Amino acid sequence: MAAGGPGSKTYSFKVVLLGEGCVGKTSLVLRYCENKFNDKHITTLQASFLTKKLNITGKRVNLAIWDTAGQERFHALGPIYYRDSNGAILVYDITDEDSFQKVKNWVKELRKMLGNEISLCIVGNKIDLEKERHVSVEEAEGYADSVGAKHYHTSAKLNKGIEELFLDLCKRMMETAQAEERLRGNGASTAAPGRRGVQIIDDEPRAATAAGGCCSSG
Amino acid sequence: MQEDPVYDYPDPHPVGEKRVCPQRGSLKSISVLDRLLLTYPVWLQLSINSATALHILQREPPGTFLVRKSNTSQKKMLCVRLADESVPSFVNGLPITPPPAFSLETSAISFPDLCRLIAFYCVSRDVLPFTLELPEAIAKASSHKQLESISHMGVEFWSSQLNFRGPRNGPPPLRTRSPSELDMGAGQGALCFINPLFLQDHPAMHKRHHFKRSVKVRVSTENTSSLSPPVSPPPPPPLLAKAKVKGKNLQHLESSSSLSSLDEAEEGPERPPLTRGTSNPTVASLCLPRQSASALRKMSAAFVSFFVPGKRVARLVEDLSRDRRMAFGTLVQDFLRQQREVLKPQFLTSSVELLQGMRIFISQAKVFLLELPEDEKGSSTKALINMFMVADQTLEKALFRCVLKPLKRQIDEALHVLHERDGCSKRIAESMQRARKASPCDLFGVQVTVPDTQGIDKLRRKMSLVRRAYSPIDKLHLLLQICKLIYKAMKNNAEFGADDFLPALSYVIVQCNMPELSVEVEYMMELLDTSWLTGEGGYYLTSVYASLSFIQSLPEAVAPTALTQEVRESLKNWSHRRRTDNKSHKDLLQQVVFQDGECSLMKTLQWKAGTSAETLAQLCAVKFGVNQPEEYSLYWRRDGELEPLPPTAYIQDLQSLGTTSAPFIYQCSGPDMKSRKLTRGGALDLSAEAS
Repeated sequence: MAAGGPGSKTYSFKVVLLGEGCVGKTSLVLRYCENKFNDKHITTLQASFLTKKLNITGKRVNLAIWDTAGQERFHALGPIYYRDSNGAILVYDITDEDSFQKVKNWVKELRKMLGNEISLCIVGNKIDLEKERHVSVEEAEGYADSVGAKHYHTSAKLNKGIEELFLDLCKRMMETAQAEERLRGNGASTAAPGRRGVQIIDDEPRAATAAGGCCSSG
Repeated sequence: MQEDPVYDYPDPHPVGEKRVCPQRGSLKSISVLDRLLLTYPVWLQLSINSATALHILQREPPGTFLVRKSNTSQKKMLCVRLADESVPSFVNGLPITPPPAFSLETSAISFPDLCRLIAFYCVSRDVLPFTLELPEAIAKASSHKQLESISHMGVEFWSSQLNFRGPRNGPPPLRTRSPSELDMGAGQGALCFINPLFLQDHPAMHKRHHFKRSVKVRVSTENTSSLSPPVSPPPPPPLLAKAKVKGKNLQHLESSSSLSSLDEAEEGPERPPLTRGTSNPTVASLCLPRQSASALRKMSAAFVSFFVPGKRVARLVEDLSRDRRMAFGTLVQDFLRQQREVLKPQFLTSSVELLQGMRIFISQAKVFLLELPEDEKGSSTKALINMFMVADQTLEKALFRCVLKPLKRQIDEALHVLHERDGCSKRIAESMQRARKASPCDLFGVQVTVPDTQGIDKLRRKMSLVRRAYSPIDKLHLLLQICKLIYKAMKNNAEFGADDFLPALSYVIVQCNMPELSVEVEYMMELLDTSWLTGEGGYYLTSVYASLSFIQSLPEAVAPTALTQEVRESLKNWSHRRRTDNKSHKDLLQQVVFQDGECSLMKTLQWKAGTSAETLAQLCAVKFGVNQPEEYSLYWRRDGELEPLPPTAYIQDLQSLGTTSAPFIYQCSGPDMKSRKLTRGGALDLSAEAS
């Protein structure tokens, strides 16, 4: 780090978005990414896969946000999507007790499959509908605490709490990545991608598939 | 500007104050691009600081430039000498944006590589106060030899006698060369590429929108150096003038031209080595409207040369890979020969194993290529790699071409046989059939508009293109095109998440009824480097994989179920492999020259990480068929001396001692051991054999 100075490293994180259909996962992430939308993407303006570039305390962070299908019938496909994730955002609707239950199931599964190395965020969305709240703040926050997750309240509609959620998540993922780096003894030569696909790359990572093969097939 | 409308110059200046153009006369055969390429050690000074840059440029005429790397921003900076009276300084440093597209930060025009960027600013100002000037010695050099000797001086050139400078206090050359100076239609002379594919929408572009309207295209037709790009016949400019250069078409074009593996896959695997200067790249024009296809094909042939950095590297690597006199060639050819055996049906075990073997080899070959000793012709590859800051991706593509392309037919057949054997093909085909019967829209809970019959036909055609490509990267691009078409069909301008996309994708897969898709997914997942799998391509590949798993888990999936045990297992293995992937790279591909009397033989052996040199020596004994292994030992070159390799040495010991990748010598260790003067592998006339 000393030689390259701050900012010479780029963290690439994969964040998976889980939650029942209709809880507003898609609007949440769209809201977050819409301002600086990366127009290089092939599937422009689709919300299944989004990226965001951040600069946090002088370090560049590339977020890749993977949406999943929330319908019950697709539940079993979860592992295909969340493997190698650095973070997971578990969204429920504060007016829907069921959706909170689903989040609990996801947490259990993630902890079982990925252990403690994945940073979990539990997100109560739709706080603009506070009057119809069915999941109490205490219950939700208490639960999050008990499983080592952070809890957030957001409203995609009012654009509330979203920046904070992602920023916080990034910081936590960076901490995990840095701890991992230290574990590997800072061996510069062994800068291979760490476990779970944390990639520390010098200089800008390539825009992978997007840059090369933009298609606009008609 | 009354000249041919194809040539559009953004900075028209009176042709009156013309100087003798360095590009004329006998010199015209060396293009600016080649001059830049050959002399980059002079102008590319990444390690110098700004003070040194100032010091060097101080004595140079305006327009002289250097590229250095800023310590603070870590960006490359184009440092241009301005007129003496310029404020705040007589040198202007402009940050260059990093790959994939190089551009000056204030400009809207970007280039596929640094050299192209510089070459462009040598003929056109764009955002600069005036064009860049090559040092006179470089601009006037009349042969490659001269340029090379300049190049050897590196930074010393600037202070040398060779660097004679023009009048220092003259007016800044606020002029550009006129079209007539640049090129007189013979396809020679100064060279400038503007790649319209890299033009971006940008306010600055509107000011210079005439740039966009007519695009200047010059294709080098000379074949002067080993670094020359593969030459394609210069396209007739009028064609380009007529062709509408619109973003959309170009994107289209790009998507097709980058999928070169489609066409090439159809060539015979025994295609003779490419001869530079005669190749005529043709490009598939996929899914283009018929009437424009031919025009675009011609046009795309011209555009192929825009992808030169990648193409050049690909060609170089390919040539290297075919040349058995070179270590790399031996390595690749041996592997191909071995694979042709291994891929025979009777030897096949599992598809994953097969693909993994390929992947490991490709990774190792990449490392090997990057570590080629300078005199192994690798120097030119290295120069290119430095020059273009070639992305790992480019090398990866080049290696796919060397390894997967010649084996395409056999791999396909092998995978087919294997999946017939393990019943996968049958299972997925049956699942798809079942799903189709059971009204797929309900089955997947599709809530959006899905492609109609025509749309499905189109998608099916795309899927068969996926099958035809040999390169997993091309396959992935096609897969993304398929996903895009599905989104397009969803209409109503909403922004869709996975809740809507996955059902639609599953529907399309079932309707297209192409069970072979699962083989393609496996191929991509196993062969693509991890870096590809974390981006957009990785996401959609994952979605297709998920969708195929879902289809296979039907009909039980009508009720919520878990993944089939098989899928879980394969996922686990896959993840595990990916994690250990990097460790396996640490094995070393080591060349060993066997010296026995007058006989010498070279093989490339795999020195496994964690095993000692003794183990390697044992392997040598086996591979070279030595009867008394105790009498033979391994030797290596250290500081020019041949020394015995300590039997207890490991790969990492060697690396810490800073060895080169020169071959080891395996020879008799008796007292009569002749310490021959050994040359490096490349120079030896060796009859290398498969190991």
